[in-house]
Amino acid sequence: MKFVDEFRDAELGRALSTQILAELEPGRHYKVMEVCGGHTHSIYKYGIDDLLPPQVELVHGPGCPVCVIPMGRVDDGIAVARNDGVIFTCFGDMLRVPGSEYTLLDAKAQGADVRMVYSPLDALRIARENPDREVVFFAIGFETTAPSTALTLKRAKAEGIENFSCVCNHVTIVPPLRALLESPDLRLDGFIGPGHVCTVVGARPFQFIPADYGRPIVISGFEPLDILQSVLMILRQLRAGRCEVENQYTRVVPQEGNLRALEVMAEVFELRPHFEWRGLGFISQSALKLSPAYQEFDAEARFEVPNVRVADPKACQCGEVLKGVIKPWECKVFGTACTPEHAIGTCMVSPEGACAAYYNFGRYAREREAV
Amino acid sequence: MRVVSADDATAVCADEQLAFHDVAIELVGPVNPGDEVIVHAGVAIHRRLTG
Repeated sequence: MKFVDEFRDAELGRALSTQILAELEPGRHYKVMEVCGGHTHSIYKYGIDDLLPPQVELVHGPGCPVCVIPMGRVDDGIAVARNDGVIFTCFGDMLRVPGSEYTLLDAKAQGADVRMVYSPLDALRIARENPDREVVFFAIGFETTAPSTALTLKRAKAEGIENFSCVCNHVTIVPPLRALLESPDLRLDGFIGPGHVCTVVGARPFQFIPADYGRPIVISGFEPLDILQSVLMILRQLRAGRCEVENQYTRVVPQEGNLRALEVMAEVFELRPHFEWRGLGFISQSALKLSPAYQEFDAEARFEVPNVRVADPKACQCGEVLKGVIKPWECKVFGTACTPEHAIGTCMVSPEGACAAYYNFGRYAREREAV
Repeated sequence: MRVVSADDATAVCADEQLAFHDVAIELVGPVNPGDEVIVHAGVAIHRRLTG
């Protein structure tokens, strides 16, 4: 397939690997963080870290939208889903994210009408087809997914649909990156930037990384050669003493982003003063809520929600994984008590979660190493 | 995904496995058969023109 196959060429991958090796400074160890779950998935699926020299370490950041949802928000969703007459809709990954006691899948098994959708537009269609039921969409995701929710709410408003509402958990990527860069726990040399977030917001929001923190960032596509080339571009910046935002994913990411999507988001959403991130705690202005013009679609106003903060289980180290402090296999419960079938932490639920990606694609290679 | 057919607001697009999807295209403007679009949650967020 055009724009896909040519970016999975093994020979070119090996050539890039050789070029990466040539850029290394003797005695230096490089830590490069990818901040998009799509990158994490690709890295393990294609074994990209196997093509990197041991001096280059890929660190996984908080870029999986399912992984950063705290347990309290899952409990809020379950409380809404249990209301009589409600059809509760969410993405498939979200069904298995643990709340304090149950998942949404458990709630479905206990009788709540919980349905998986691929798009908020599917949820709106369900609302049209069931005018006597309240249909709620549990909205999650970064700036890549927020335009879908915004467009759906615009359509709902234009059509005068009154039985549709949304639990808004959309988050923004810049504030947690700033929090990570302020963290004394983590020394990072550069960032692989989130290609599809940048498709929407453009490159400008990431200027603070070189400007304020002196780290390079390369906006990257998601195919194996994209990621390898981005690592090479970061190493070249470091070697040349440069520090800037570069765009490897020029075939998709325009400098200014998608202005129409930004316009729709600005109409439908506004920033929350603060929002809790799993593992990262409360971060100021890091999430979206519905703007006053769209308050009528706010499920948190329409239904009673517990709105209680719930501490993560003690055994779970998703917080450290999300901050890049530990690798998935270093978590105490990885692959034993916590598996994709019976996840304790969110990172083991979504295919974009570092633990699930590593469990599905990477653990066999590590087992071979151990032998 | 690749656009197969389109009207003003919705396109039918084929993914890598040649499965077909309805995709909202308001955020990327008019598309034509053969165009490539980046789709998240049923909505195109980027359009790459053919030719």
